[in-house]
Amino acid sequence: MISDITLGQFFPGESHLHKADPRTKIVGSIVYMAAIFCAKNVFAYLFMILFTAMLAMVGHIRIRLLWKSIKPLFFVLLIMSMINLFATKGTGEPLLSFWKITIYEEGIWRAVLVSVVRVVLLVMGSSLLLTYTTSPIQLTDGIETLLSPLKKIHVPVHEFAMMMTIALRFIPTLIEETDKIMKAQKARGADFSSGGLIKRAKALLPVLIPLFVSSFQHAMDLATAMECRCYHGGEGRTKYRILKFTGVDVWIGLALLVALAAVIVINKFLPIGNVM
Amino acid sequence: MNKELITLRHVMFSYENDEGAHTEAALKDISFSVHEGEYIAIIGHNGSGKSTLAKLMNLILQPTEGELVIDGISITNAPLSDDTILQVRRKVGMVFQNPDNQLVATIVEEDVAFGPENLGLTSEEIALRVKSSLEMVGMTDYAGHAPHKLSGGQKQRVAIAGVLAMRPACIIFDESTAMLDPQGRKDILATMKRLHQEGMAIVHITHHMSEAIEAERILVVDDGVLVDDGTPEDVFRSPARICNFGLEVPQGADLVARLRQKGVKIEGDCLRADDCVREILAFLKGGTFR
Repeated sequence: MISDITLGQFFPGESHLHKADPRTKIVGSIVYMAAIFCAKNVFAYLFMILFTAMLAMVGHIRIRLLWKSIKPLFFVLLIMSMINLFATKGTGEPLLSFWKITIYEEGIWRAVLVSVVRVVLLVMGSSLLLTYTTSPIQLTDGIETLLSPLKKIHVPVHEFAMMMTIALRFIPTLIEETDKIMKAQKARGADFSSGGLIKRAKALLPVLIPLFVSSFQHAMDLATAMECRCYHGGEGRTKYRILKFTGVDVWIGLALLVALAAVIVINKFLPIGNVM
Repeated sequence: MNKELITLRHVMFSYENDEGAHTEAALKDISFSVHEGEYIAIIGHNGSGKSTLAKLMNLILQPTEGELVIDGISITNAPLSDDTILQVRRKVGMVFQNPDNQLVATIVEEDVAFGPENLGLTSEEIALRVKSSLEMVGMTDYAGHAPHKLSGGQKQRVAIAGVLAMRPACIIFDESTAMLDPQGRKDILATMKRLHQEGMAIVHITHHMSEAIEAERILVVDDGVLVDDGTPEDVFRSPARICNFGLEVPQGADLVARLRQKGVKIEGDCLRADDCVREILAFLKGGTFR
């Protein structure tokens, strides 16, 4: 059950989105989010839906995978759309009114567009640009390079990036270990699957403590092994993969900027069905 | 004999306890040399000090007394500069017991690149080294894989590649086969042998006698003292002595020794299983049981 968890969610591939520089994709996803937050009416949202579908096509990511990325958000979306549906005060006649609940036309629009479509697009877009098409190591490389100007004010950028890499590296190891410890405790009669919330939480304690201890052991051993391989901090360290901007980056960057501009233009010149 | 690569002269080592006082010596007056291209096995029971010995040769620890010379650099108990430590670690690489605890990156080739990156090499040079190191351990096909999806033996081979990429003159294997399945163990031993043939000095710390006999020379450590130093044949000549050190005799040699006790006349040392089989077959064909 535990081994089902796939972290990082990276799907290796050879598409243009995969080949693009992680820096482009990180900055690009910020532009993408800006575009979504700028969108004010149905047409702008429609445009962004089309744009996201195009991104998925460029990245060779199937719709089913995208659907999987938003499935866990179902309840959040439901609650958000409920709140928008009931709390929005419209200008016209209420569509429906009973007990203390009144529903306006604007409420429906907001529930659909603002909570559902916007959040779905945000999650899909950032998955497409970042997690699905960028390997964790590229992502950390990108973040490290983007933040490297902060080194001048003594922010330990390299150390953070190294910590992130190691954390990502050890997630599967620790999951495996959790599984092993749980099995060992089960063999001694531990029960993880019955009882109330508090009882279950208590049952996890004999799993967490050995896990905690062993992760310290991992850390100590890894530190020694790193030292043996001449690790001495970020100073004087070079990179195997040097990040390089290519033609693909120009196109992806341009496409995102155009999308942002298009959303602003649509907001301005098609002011019908404004929901915000 | 080739040039001396690592030399220990009357090395003593004792760990410090929490109060900073030295506990009983883990290593007592140890002197020996590792030569370029040599294949050495260090054996000893648990807690005999063999791992401490490995840690000294890689400067994870420094001798409490005596002198250690690695590639011409003298090391005593005086504090060392960072440069000296790096220089030594470039020359002497180390592969540990737990393959999981020595892989740093989430992709095999990135992990192999970790060492060269620390040495400040150019990206082209790193790429060359990653390629040749993975080739040497036969893991080229797995360059893009995530380490956690590999078997224990494969992970350990990646760890070896990571050390090889620093182009050391000697690799120390600190019980690197202990956590592996038989297949993984076989792979690692084969890799060691191949590296040795390419001129790399190998120091293999182990408590599996069947692995130790693959070496050219065996050092036996017992309670911090170097009690034996010779070829596998020399070391295992007297099984009783080896048993005294809390070690086992290789199965072949043990079998042959027992047969001899029963009056069966078998020639040779029979350290390796195939030697043993051959000698026994030769004996059977000799006609005694016909």
